[in-house]
Amino acid sequence: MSQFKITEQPNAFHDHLLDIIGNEFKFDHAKGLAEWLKNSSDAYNRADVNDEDQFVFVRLKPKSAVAPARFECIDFVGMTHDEIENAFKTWGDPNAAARGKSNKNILGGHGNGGKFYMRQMFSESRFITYRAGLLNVFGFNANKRYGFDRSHEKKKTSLERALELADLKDVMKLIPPILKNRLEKGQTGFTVVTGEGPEKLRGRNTPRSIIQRLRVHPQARRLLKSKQVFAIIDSKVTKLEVENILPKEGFEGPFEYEVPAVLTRGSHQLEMVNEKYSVGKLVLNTSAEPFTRLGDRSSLNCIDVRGEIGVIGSYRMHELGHVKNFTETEFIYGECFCPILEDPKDDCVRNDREKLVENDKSQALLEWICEKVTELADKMAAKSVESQRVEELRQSSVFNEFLNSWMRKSKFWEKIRGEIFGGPDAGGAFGGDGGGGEAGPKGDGGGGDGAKAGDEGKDGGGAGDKKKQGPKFPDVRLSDVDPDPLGLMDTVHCDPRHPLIYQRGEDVAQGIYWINSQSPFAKKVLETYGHEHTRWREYMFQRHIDILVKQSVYEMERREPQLSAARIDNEVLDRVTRRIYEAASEDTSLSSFLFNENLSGAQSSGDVSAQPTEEPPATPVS
Amino acid sequence: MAPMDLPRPEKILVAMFQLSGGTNLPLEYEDIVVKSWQLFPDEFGLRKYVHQHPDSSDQHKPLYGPLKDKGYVLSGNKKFRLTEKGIGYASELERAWKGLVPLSKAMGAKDKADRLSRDKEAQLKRMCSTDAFKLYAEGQKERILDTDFYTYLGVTVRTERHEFQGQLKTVSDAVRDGERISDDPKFKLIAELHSFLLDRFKPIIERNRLPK
Repeated sequence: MSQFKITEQPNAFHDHLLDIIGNEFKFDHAKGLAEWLKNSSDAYNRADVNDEDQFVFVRLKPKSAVAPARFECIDFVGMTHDEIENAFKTWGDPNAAARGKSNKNILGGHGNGGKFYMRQMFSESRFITYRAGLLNVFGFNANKRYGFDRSHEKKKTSLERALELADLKDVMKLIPPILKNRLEKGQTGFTVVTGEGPEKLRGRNTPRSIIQRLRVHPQARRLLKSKQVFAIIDSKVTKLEVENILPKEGFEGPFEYEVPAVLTRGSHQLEMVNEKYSVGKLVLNTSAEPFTRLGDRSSLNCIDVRGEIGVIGSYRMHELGHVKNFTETEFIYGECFCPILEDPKDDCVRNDREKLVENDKSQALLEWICEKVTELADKMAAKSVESQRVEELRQSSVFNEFLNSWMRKSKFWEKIRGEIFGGPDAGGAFGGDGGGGEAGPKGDGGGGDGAKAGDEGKDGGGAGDKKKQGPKFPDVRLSDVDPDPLGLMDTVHCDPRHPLIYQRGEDVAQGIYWINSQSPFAKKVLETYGHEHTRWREYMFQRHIDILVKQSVYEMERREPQLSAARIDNEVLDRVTRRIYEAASEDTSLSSFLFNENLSGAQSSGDVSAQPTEEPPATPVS
Repeated sequence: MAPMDLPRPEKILVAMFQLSGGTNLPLEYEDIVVKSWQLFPDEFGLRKYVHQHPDSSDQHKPLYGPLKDKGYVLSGNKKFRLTEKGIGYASELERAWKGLVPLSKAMGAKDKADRLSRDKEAQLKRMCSTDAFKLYAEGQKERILDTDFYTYLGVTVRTERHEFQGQLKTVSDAVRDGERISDDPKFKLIAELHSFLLDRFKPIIERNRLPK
């Protein structure tokens, strides 16, 4: 132990220290006003006033011929002389905001923000506060030194006179009768914080732009959500509300992630939860529009880090670290609640609460947040690529429509049925067991004329004369692109594992088929050659052939229950495909469709799809 | 139960079994009508001319109804054929009709067998080779698609609903017996998968439900 014994004395500071600390705040007025809003909110919370009854007015008066510009923040709580002496006057007191009450809901942290804003950003500033019939005026003079206005210290004043001195006559018209009544009964008071001759009020930094930035300032947003905060500019009153941000389609969120109990950074294992501080949570949201296009709201494009006392740091996306799909982060915003950062042992919270103190714990958390933002951005990028692909495919849907049109106009299916299956279709129903009954269907293919007994009816009365509708001509669509003709969904979404040609149960009766645009090979063709390439057109043509083959097989089975491989091989595979390819080689419009390398979807819609360049051959199959 | 107590659909099966020689060859309706009348004239003869003429209206209801729905018969274009399951069952029925086994045993055999019939074993092996089974076994049941379900059942989206119901019954019977009789762990897994698929693809089953 040293032989010297120091006798403690109060610290002595030069006022320059306040300049040094104050400059660190790098105030802009939105940030400063947010500090004042927090102070007003704390005053209400100490007085146990419900959120919906907390009225705060931010009044910005422009410079006039006789008076400098003035920024004011008005609440209806008020301070006593003792509170100013014991709490407000002290710099850097972490308990100043709570004033002996529980810290719950108290936003003031180091007891500096609002005071420094008054001191640093105005030529003069003061607050006029009225409580229990006594008026006090305390503030900073032009020398940036604080003190009471001796002529208005603990001064017994009528409410009317106090309101007049504080210039609150107009504001009184805006508050609800119940609050007015409480004021008149002395159950509450008021405080008007005033800054005169604001710094940096020039160019585009107008009162309106300041208020616009205040609305989206991280320190103010939560207050605006719950309290009754109004802006008064040029006597025009506006309620400040947090704007509802429409989420990005397909990423409605919110996306929630629990902060891991332990984060690793290098060789350090960092505890993110303990008995005193609960587990944290990251919530990410998306915006339909990129924030960069939203003017002042672009400051929302960030992750706010929040503790029990509110926002303790706010990070723009580029400040989080490297994100691969950075463009997608322009649609992301969020909040990370992590109370353990307030643990005094770790000391992660800065005086100005703009950024966290840089240490292993805060950096590990930011790295983890960056990881989660990256995950979400990657998903959005993948969706974006997919949307782009769908958009491109939409153009090639015109090609598909051409093939539909060509097949339909060529009466290809009817001709194949006639050729392969010959005469009339066998009907569908047996003779009845009770006389009469349902007529058996009659085939519509081929050139025969007789309806035979069919095989479907149970109660039919012999061969009928009602024609059965044969299998419909295929209506071929592109999955994930073309609209669902049955209206059951926007489009049919296929899985890469679905077959190349897909049908839902509902599609069968309507002859609807879907070319699976998600199949790996389809994707490969599109990725390698693009949606206008002949390979893609041929791919679609092949699928149309598949469909005709498929229909032929089923038709054959319907007529001949005992199918043989030879019959399928000869009659379906060989004959159908040969007939189609023969027709394709003879028909100029189809040849052009299959071979013209310069055909685009747009051209096709005009030249080919709607109107094949020439009539399909009269008999594409003999 | 005497052999002649065979229910009408079972009598038709016996007739088809004899006509096809115990195979799945397609049979013409008229042949089935005549054969079943020859074997069971009192059941299928024309009223007042029971022993002179068959009544051709007696067979189609059982054929399209219970026999198809239970998966014993397939039909198309006025022709019918026995399925593997149908052949197995008809073979037992024929033995009972000939007095070689009690009819009650033949009719209950499919429910009480103490070993897996060949057709059921074949069904189960087929199911074990499907994508649905593989995905389920690999813990990726969420990836099973509607088309996997059709393949698992041995049908397609275009399968006619009587045939769909018949195949569903055939598969369900095979799964039940596989779980009951065999120690093969794959068959236990198939039972789990079956239950999962029936629940997941309920709408498809509902769409193929037969009118009441």
